[in-house]
Amino acid sequence: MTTPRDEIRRQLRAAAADQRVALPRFRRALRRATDPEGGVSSHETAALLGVPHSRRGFLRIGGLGVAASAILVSCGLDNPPEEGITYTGEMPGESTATVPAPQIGSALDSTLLLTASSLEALAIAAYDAALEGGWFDGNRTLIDVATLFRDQHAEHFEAVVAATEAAGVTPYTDPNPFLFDNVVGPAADSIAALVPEDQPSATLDLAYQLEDVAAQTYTSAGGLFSTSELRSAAMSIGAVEARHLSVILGAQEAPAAPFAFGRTVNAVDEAAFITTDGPVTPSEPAPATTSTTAGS
Amino acid sequence: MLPRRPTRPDLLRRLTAEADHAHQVGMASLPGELEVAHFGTDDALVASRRQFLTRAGTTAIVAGAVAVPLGVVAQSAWAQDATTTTSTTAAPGPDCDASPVTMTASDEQIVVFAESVERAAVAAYGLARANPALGPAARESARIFEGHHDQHGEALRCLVAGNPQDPNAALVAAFGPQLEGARTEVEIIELLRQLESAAAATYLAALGQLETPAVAGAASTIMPVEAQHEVVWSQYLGLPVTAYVPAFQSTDGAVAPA
Repeated sequence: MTTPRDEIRRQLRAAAADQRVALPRFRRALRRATDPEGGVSSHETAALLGVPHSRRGFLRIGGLGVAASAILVSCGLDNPPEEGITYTGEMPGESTATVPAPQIGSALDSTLLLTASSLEALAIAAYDAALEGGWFDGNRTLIDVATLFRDQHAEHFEAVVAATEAAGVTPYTDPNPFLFDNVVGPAADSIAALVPEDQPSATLDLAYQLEDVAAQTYTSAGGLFSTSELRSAAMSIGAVEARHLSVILGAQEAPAAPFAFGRTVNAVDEAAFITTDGPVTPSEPAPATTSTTAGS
Repeated sequence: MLPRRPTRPDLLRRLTAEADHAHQVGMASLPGELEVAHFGTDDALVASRRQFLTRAGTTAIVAGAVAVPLGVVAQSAWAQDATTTTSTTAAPGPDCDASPVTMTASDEQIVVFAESVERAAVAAYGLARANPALGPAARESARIFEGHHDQHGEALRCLVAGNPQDPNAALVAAFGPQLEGARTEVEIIELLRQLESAAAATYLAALGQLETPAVAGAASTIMPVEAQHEVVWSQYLGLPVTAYVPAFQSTDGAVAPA
């Protein structure tokens, strides 16, 4: 029996096949990007290589790499692929071609929606922790901005939940367990242990990581959702996450628009997906507590 | 507070540490432009970027009555007739590899239009940079953003493997004279901010029409950058963060094909 998770993995394999087709283009793009005469800026070279712009630690969670980068697109293909979602196999010069039906479907839509709501819930939890923990050391502006962003993530969460319900799928309303266990939880532990004057910087780093994952995931979803309605809905949110990123970068005194194209290398990995079967990677169980009893 | 979960050594944190090390090694070899804040390295100019930390939440500071040219450019609605599903495959254009993305005819129309908008943005930034009222820090940002728009235009051109489109005439007519005639830096930056706002809105409108996922994916990588450009200019103007970070991106002010 094919489970929804099997369908998701089939579609991801199809997307991976699309990536394999894109690899020759990537190699050509890489040659062009690293050629001093290639006319590609260092910003774009860094983006193509997935090199982050900031000296601070960043989290590379892994990518659902869809070949949406314009550098890849601009390189095109030498030969039509044997399989893929948009290519007909006809050589250039043919006047017409029928666009094949995309392999993207409702199962992937569901996964993207469920994962998106988990990301929004995660962001809400992280900003709440920062605000309640006083991690901005009384900086009123950072507090106001964090409050605004938290509230906006709450609106995003509601919108994604509504879209999920409209698709006939039970929404996922908890913070993403994989990212909580591997990113936010450990970061929260670390920040809480810092002296107050060091907490704002570390909190901004965490906020950057979360917003970056969210923005890149929505950018990726913009090319993966099966309908134009879902794609535009995704980017109505994704563009705001990108704005959040710019504001945070400004607070970190870093370039606020460093790349010519949005990236997807840090979009959530399959391990962080939420499917209609639930999280691909469930939460870690809480450690068992040992108790002692008075000697008898 | 978040519940305290036991930390554990995990592959992810090791990868993070490795990647950070690799990044720092890599950063040393990258040109300095990656390190230059958009407003340059001058102390006063860097301070102007820090001003958002103190101005956030205050009322907007917008000097003068700058005309709003872009709002009148939007013409007919995005009334795309999406009944056709036959795509066209053109011969490769100059400097593009073979085999452009296969897409519907209506998508091709949108892509061509979007390219014209990017070309118009390049022209706008050229006019802005040529205006002596623009200060050095903002001029540097304008140079970078002009480059971004040029790359956007090229990417869109190669999607359809066409020759470069002319800058969108309506946009050029709307902002060209104003950019040339602007007397203050604030006027210039406000016009650029409006341009970026319109660009972001235009891509969202396009995403509501595009049928080909790969084309939508390309648009999705461009749109957030226009939004980030708008943030930069808005911060330079000292606008409150609520003015340039809405809860949702909208299509208000989108430019439409004639």
